[in-house]
Amino acid sequence: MLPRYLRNSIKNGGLYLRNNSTVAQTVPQKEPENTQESVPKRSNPLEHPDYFHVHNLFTVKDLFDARVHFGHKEGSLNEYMTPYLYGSRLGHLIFDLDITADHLRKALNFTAHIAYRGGIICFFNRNALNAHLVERTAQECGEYAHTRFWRGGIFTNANHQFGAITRLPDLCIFLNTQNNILSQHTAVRDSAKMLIPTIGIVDSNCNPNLVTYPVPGNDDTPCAIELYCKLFKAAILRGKEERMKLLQES
Amino acid sequence: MRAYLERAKEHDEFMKKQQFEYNIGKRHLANMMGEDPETFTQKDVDRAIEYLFPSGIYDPAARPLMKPPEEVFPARKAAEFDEAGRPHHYLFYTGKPNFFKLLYDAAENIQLLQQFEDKVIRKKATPDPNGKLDLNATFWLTKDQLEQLLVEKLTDLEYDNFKLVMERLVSLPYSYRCKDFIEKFRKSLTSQKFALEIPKPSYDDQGRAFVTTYECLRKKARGDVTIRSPGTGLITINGKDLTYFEDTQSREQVIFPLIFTGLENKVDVECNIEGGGPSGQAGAIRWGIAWGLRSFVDKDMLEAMQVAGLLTRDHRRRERKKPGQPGARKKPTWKRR
Amino acid sequence: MATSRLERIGTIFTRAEGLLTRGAMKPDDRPLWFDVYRAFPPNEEPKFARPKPEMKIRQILYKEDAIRAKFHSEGHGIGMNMLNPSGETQTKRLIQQYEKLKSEGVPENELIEKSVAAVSVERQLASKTIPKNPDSVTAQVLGSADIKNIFKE
Repeated sequence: MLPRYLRNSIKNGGLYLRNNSTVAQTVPQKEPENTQESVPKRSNPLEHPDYFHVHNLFTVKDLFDARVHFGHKEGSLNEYMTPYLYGSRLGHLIFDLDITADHLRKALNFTAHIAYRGGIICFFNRNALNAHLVERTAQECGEYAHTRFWRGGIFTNANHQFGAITRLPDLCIFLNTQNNILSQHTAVRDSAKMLIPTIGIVDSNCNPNLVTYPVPGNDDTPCAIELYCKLFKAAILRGKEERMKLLQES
Repeated sequence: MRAYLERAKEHDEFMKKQQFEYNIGKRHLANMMGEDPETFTQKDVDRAIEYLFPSGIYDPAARPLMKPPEEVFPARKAAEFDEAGRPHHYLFYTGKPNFFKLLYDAAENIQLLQQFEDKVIRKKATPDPNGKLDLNATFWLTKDQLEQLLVEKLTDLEYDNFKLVMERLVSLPYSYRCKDFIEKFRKSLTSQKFALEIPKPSYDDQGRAFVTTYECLRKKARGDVTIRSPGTGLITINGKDLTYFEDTQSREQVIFPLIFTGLENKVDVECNIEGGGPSGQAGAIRWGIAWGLRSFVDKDMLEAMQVAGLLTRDHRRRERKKPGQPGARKKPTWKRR
Repeated sequence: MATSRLERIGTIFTRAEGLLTRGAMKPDDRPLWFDVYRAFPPNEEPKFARPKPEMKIRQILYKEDAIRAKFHSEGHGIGMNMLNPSGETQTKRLIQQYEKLKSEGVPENELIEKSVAAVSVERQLASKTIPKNPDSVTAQVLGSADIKNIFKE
């Protein structure tokens, strides 16, 4: 994790965010004054179920039009994905888009909160067809992307690999969680090792177990990836906008 | 993180100091050599060092030198993080951000060109014939040059990918629209290389231009070749004419460069050759003639000669016989039983 | 960070929480996502070790599938244009026609032939009167292009 002096800027950005935590902590003496001033103006984002209004970003119809409901064939099913399925149409698995929408909204809300707190968000995708789109999305929202071959140890051996103490991402978004059709992306495992939460679009042949916020859905079709990229970008930008407002006030 | 930022700052300061010291050293050197310190170039510095510290060491890297600090100390990346620990580059976590940014830009350009092409087809226009890129005189950067440009180590596979994506970009009909991007990664090679080395012909008392090539080597043969222009196609080898060689292959070898350049009746050739056998002597003369003819042909012919392999030295020598076997590689007959 | 790297035990949240309650990690040093996760936990705990869900995948079948199968087995209505935005496939028209004829009391063995004939007549009429999707870019290009002289300079 980060050295403490680095996190000061994050802390100052979200002073009151920490006040309602149940974990015992020594509160610096300056803090209560600040909070008393700012509390009447704004509510705590964590108490609001949808502080950044990410729930209205999409409808189930949008998901359907983007072909999010198409899974793979029955033979390649990962058994942990069965609760997210609506059924099988002549051997092709179909996702239940109501469940997908619920999961996606949670994921978007989480993303917006992390962006609001100034976290580093990193996009992953190993599908060459969609790599360019994902990299462009990351660039447009001022975040990071890794769509290339994953050299082992980028997270687990970061200080050695980058030759300096490195701040790791605070959230990894996987637009597909597979490295190839046979194996899972190593970064999913490495994020879990390094206590980094993950959001992953999991298709019917992926394992959702290690992904913190799995979103069941089609992870191959370009128009589906386009939709996900648009949604995550909107969520991040909303979070950042709120953060800028907060920094200007304080 | 703080340690990292400090180290980056330290490096910058170190380089600044080295630069300062180099400039002072250069001025001292100029004064020593009695020249103007303002116009003293790196070439002059090298010459002065060679004069002041003559060295018989074989390896040039071990001889005394004085170079600007940017060349002596390998380039390092500027600081990669801001004070909150966020990397500056959006592809930082790939480990090779500059290289992958290059691939990203190339892909972006390809997409833009394809969109543009669609638009043109819809308008029923045709590509501008004058805008076509001329890539004959230039080559893609080599792996080392690309690594230097990007300040990143690349694998062979990554370099191949780079070439693949750039070739695809160039093959598009409207690639001239991103000429600036493409030319950043190309380098001209041939023309400059020859311009520096080709000797100017001298003139004898009859007013004929002549060029002498010394040290024409092939196998154990060595000699020198003089080419005179204008001439009548007279070939003199050790005082005899072409019949100095008895077999036709050697004679063909000697006249091949003259026929290739179309100068067989326009120049005279004189050779002195010794050592080796007929094929070695013929090969040495062939190279000598080709090397000398560089002064009498134009640039296109020069490139053609290089492609034909006329300007390449053949360094192969006879391989020694090994004990226990009849020849260099030949083994005694071997039977299982 | 002083944490266990055994990702298969518990979740990232329980591991971070354990460090906090035992005092191995100071509250000020807790990860940035910790409070967000506590406020909005995911629907299922992201545990690696969890029992396999015992659910059966249901088959999605419709009543008209039997009729559809009849048409397809005779080679009618196979193939569709996915780029066509109207979304009306030929099979759908066939089935509608089938239902209509059935309600009119046409005998069972003639139903398929008759509906195929009706739909093909319908299509021919439609293709003559209305150009397909006049707004599409393809239609515009084709409309203005001189297709007959396409190979002439």
